[in-house]
Amino acid sequence: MMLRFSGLLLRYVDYQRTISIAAPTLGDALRQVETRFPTLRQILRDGEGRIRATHRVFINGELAPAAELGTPLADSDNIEFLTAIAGG
Amino acid sequence: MPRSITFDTPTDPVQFGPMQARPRVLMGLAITSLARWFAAYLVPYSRILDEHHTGFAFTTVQLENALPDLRFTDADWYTVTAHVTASDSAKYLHLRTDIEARLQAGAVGSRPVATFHADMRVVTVVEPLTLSGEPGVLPKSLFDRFLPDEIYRPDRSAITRATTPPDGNEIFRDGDTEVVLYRSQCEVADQWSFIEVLERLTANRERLFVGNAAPADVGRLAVAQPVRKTVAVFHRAMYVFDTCNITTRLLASPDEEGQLAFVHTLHDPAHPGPCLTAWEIVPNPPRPQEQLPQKVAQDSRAYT
Repeated sequence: MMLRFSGLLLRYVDYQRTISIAAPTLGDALRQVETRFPTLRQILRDGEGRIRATHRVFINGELAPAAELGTPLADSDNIEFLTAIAGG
Repeated sequence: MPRSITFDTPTDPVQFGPMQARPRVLMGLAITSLARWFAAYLVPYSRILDEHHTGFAFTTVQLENALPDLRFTDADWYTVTAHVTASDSAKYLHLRTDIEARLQAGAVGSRPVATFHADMRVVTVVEPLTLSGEPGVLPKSLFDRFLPDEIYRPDRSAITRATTPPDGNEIFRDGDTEVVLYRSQCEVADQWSFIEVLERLTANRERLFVGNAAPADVGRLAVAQPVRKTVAVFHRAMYVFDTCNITTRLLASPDEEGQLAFVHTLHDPAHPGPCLTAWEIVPNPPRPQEQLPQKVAQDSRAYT
């Protein structure tokens, strides 16, 4: 599947807009990307390991409810990470 | 009375076009006035972010030009006065900035140039590297520094009125223009800067004059008169390198007789709903043939 990053998240994935990953779940896909870009975990997840409410995860254009990490993924899926609000 | 700050700054020619003071400069002075008020009565803006983990998302801004045709040589100095108030829920701030122009010598007093209003939603920063945040309230240590006169109860009906785009007969509707937000148009969190994104919408109005973007009459209306008022309502933030579409409509506005409204909508093509709606009010100019005799007469006098 393809993970897509945009906006302020780009800095933490070395400005790669898309990253191709093979993983059975959203959580597993994230772990693989975080291994390559360790700071991303601090950005995307809270102390409990959940995706922060400030970020939205869209799977094939649909908002994933509460960003369930156990959501199963297929090879053809597109996963998009967006930031809701930033305080500037 | 809310406490205010006042500062003077000399003008320079880059702050002006030939027809009027540049709105982006006036809005830049307004954001500077916000930072000065914070520094004077709360703590410096950077400390609010870094130590109090609090930021502000602009929800609406309005710039009303009292002197829409102010020229560079009309103003040696700007005098900027501002005050900030907080809602009783500590969820919102309101900034009012008044900008006046004065001449160095030979003039009595100063003249109002523009008034700027901004409403901001308080955001709690939950992650310090990206400054990503969620809707929050002012920390008590900051809220307690507001005086009783600086606390307000939001007027919902006034907010609705202020954030409703003008209605009127549609004269022209432009197709989508695709634009990319670049880093020079963003702020410290790589999120759009309201000043820069409004500048981009202004450019979309002027684009109607260029090439075949619009009929010649519409193009002339887009550039011939100074803007009297700019209002923007921010629905959802966009970030650096995001691609968005802008649609511009020209309306004959019945609420303000003799006025035209250029209404811009900016949206993310990948997600439903507008990210930003903004409108610029300009006077409906007289037709060129009505203007011509007077102009010719003036020119004749000049050469005799």
